[in-house]
Amino acid sequence: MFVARVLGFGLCAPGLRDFPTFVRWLRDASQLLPAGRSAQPSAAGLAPTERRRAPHAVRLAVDVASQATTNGRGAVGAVFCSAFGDMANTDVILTTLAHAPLEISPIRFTHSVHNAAAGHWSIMAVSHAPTTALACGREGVGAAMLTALLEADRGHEPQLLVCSDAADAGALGDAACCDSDFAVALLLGAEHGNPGAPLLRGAVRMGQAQAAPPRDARLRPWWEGNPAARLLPLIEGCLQAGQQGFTLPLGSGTLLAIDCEAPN
Amino acid sequence: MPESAVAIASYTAVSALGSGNAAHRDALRAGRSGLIANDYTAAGVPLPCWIGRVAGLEDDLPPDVDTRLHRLLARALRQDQLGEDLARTLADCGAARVALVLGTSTANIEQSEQAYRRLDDGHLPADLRDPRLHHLHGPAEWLSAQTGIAGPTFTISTACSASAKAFGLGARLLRAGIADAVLVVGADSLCASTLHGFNSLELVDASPCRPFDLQRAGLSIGEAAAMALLRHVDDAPLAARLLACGESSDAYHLSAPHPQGIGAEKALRAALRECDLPPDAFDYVNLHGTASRQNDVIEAALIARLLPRVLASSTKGATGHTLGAAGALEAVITLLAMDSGCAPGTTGCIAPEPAIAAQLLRSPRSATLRHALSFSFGFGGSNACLALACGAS
Repeated sequence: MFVARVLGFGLCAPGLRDFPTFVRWLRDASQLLPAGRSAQPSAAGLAPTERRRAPHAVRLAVDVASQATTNGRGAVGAVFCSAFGDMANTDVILTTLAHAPLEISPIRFTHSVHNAAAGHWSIMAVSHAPTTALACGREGVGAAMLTALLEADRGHEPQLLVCSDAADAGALGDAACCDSDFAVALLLGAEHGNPGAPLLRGAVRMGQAQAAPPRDARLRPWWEGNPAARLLPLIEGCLQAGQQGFTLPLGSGTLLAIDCEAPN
Repeated sequence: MPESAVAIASYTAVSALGSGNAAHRDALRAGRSGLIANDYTAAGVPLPCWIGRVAGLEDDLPPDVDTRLHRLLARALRQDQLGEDLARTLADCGAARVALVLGTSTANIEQSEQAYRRLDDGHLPADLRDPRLHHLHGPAEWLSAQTGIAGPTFTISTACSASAKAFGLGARLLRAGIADAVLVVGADSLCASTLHGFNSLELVDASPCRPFDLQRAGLSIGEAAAMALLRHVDDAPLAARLLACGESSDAYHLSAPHPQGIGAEKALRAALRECDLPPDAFDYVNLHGTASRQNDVIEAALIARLLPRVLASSTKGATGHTLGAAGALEAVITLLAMDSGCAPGTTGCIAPEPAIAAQLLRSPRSATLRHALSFSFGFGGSNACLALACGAS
């Protein structure tokens, strides 16, 4: 059993620029799901030069990481997870390789590493703590959550979990469909000393996870269309007083069971 | 032995040096290089450089999802009883109690490259639409299905530190009781993306790479698959050990190492702290040693300062830089060095950086190696340092 409290949240999606905006939208049932594929991450913490250079997918991930680590909580370990990485950048590189391989852009190649966002974030946060970058498939948020819980459970510093996927781009979208941008971050910390924060208890079990969509039906297109948005039901659980259970797949025969207890 | 140690019950590698442990041991003992003049033509005229190509891969029995990377993985499974040991472990522990952690930088991107050369009206050609060909977790999904592993399955992609960090996550899964065994894998195949990408950064040597040599001029790209089966020490008491995996971030630059090697030092110190051993307890360190101008001078200074009495070498002059596979490949090379009592040389190095000249092995040397380290550093400022111990003979 791994236990952690959620000390901070970040979220960026089309039409919803940050987590407080998302919460206000969620509580107003009269609002429709914002239209469009693209979010507008500010990534304000990046140095101006880096903000200009950093691709959209990097800014998306770094933006939610910054939101979740306000209050001087920058220097923490971090788990970044994206099913498809920076597909727009990969699409341009593959197109260049197909027609003029000697013209590949060194800046694009540098940003093609899956841990580009983790690298940018560690520079921005001046954090020498370990970061990792996972790609665990369309249902990979469970593996990322387990990795972050394992780190948080070691009891040192808070642990940042960032799950993000940008809208698909180019022909790659035929095999890696992703309808729109979505990114979410959770800052996980110790159970003790943070009594007002939502409490997560995680356990690995044998069996198949039950895919439960978000309670708020408006969120379903994002949940279905973007791998990172698979965390939306858990986010809802953190925002709604009471106790709820979730399961996320880990492998073909194991799942991560998460019990979420949110304060009144 | 620290409480955190886990056993490395079985391991193997395939690289330009050959297929299997005996081939690697013999080649390293002979100081042989596997680098050849670049004949990788998939993206047209080959770049004028040298590569670490795995010989004969094209003649292997094609796997059901046929990619160059899957051929590497399939060959590794057939070597050194790895596949048999894994099958026995799955039967003994139950498939859901065996986890998989795979480190890679580019996975099956060679298939995406092929697809983009013959797009069908802007779409992937029908024969190249399997999602496993186009996302980073594809090889792990394929390998899980091939082997029957049903436990948690992870792909780590932190550039050239990926499969070293896979050892760290694998050990944590064991210690936390999530799995009874973990297959740790590092795999990357030759592809146009990395050959042309590193070339665009002017980081590729036109000659065979020369790690730590004063005249070095960049990397030689290679390909490899390496596998290690991690178990609890009680389940494999005579096996070699993973004592620690220290990790850190440079927090400096996306593609350039920290000029004082701060991140690398933090990874080393984290590993030493985790295994509770002093620097002098180690007999050998397998260096990251890419032969880039920046990496090698920084790493040489770091080693001279923190591990001044430890024998050191880079084996990338023999295998090429195998990128996401390098951490696991060089862990296996280090285990073989300890097992055979022969520290590898630094193939390609003639006139070493002065800072490290006294301890850098230019040719193989017989020595008793009880404890050893292996460094892996990646773009994004991602660092890992493995601490390993030899098994009982």
